[in-house]
Amino acid sequence: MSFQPFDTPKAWDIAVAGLIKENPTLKMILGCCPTLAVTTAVGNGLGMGLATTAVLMCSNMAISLLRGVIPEKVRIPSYIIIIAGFVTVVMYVLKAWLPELDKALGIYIPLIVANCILLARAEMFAAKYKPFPSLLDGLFMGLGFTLALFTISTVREILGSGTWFGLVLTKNLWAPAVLMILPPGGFLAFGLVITGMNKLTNGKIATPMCATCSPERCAP
Amino acid sequence: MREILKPALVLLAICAGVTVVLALVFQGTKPVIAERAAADLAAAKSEVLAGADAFSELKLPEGFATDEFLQTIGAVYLGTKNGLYRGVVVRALSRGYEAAGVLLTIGLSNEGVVTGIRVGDHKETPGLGTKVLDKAQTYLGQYLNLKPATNLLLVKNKTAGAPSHQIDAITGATITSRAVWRAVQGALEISQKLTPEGAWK
Amino acid sequence: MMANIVQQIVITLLTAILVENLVLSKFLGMCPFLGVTQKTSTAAGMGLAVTFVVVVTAGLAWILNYTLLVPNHMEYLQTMTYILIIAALVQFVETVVRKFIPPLYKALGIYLPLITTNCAVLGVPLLNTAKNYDLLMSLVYSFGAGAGFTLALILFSGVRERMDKADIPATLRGIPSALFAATLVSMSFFGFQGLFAS
Repeated sequence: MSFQPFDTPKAWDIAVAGLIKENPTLKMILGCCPTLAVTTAVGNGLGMGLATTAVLMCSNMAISLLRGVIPEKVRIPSYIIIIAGFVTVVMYVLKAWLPELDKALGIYIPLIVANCILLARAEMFAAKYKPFPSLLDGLFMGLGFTLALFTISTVREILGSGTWFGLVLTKNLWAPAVLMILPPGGFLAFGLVITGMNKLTNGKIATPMCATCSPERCAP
Repeated sequence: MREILKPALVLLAICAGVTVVLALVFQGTKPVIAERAAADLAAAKSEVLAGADAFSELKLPEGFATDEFLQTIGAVYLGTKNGLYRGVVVRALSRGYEAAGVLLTIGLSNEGVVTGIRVGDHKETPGLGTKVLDKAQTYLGQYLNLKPATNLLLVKNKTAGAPSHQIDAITGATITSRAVWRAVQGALEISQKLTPEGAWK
Repeated sequence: MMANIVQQIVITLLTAILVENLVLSKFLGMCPFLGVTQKTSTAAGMGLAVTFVVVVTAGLAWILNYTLLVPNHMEYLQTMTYILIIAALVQFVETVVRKFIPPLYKALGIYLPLITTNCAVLGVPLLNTAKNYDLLMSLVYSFGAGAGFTLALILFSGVRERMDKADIPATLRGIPSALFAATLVSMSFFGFQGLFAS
């Protein structure tokens, strides 16, 4: 984020950045793997988004609390271990209390560890600012991610299954375009939503950070 | 030396801390997860073999899976009511379109009649494979109350009036249809290997 | 016996490369797929680096899992262990390549750290564990997965290089048009799904 260090951003700015201006998935193209994989149904998309938000909030806060202690040399492995820890906690909580969601999301739950959003926010925000703003950043970036997943899975579920959140909409009226819930449909829906987002915010996409997870290491 | 030691120790400390937290979470959720799995299995057993109210697992002999049908069988439970043997519940995992397979719970009465099929976890193609597995559709119903004289045969476009041991596959979803067929055939073969009192022949 | 194993190896390889292609079916490795495929040379380099890391990780992960974690009922440490293996391996590879093969480091240098957070690299050992593969099949599957990943990247970069020369409206330029192209590439791979109907 383009804030000056030691100039802790206000809650409103954090919220707007996370949800719209620097939406991790739709603007920064981070966290694409789950975006395409679990958006076949709105329930799954929301579940994944909220699970990731929970991990993001916890990891941001933990990393911010430890930011004075973690040496520069082992910065990345430390962040990764902390993130992996919280992901595993969420995994077992889901297995115990939301088993249907756990089965629907499958291996994409442990894969939250490799979700660029978590490492990017750790490096760019939690490492620099106090715990409470970091918690908020985690919350709003997570909600921005959830918003993206929600939008894409709405498109895919309505067009591909004729239902929304399980409620039957057009399923019995005409045969849905099953392609939308198959892999090609994922790419298509993602492309459509980003195009729509571009049109709405009237701007070109911010530099995709996807391959790098941080702006300093931009690939050509 | 100092500059390698401190980072390494911090890293180790974080690893240790995370491990402890995870161990606690695991221990805490273990009973809940086990309870859920047990409840799910119990519900499946009661659903497919309604005539029984107590189940015990049958230990399958080594090398019992002599053909592709028996290879789908995972576990066999003997069902009793008031101490009388009422039938058997078979859990099968049959490879469908997706390598992960379709989990099926099949109930057979002590006379070898199929009393129920319950579909568990699967990742079959939505709209195609799921048509086979959907209770509201016709495919699964073909197996119910079936006591075939010979082995089940999967056919396409079954002619009207053909014998009941011929199962009509769903067009466009033959692979998933085969998965169910293999599991039910396996269950029938298991039930043939049991005596009327529910012991292994 | 030997023929059976060879047949299994071939099936596992083809499944990994075509039927369950990491990028086009399982959506793993999307970040480099969208971020590194502007040029075929960089796509190929990334693919090869990932293949190497994935195979070695799979081997180490399998060994650690079945000698340490499973016997002690510590499966909950799998995610953390796998990602640590990957981070350490990538660090090690980077150091070795920088020291001993400088030209290679220059070509691949910046892509190596990116491999740590690549979904595909973490996904492969997780898939190996989920599918209960033994050591040989894990290595075979991992190699196939890496090869499939490289194939998908190279194919897609070819498409993108052509697209670069086309006149595309502003809102669609960059990622959206790449995604629409990916839709078509993914559809072509979808045809492989029924390859091993048994």
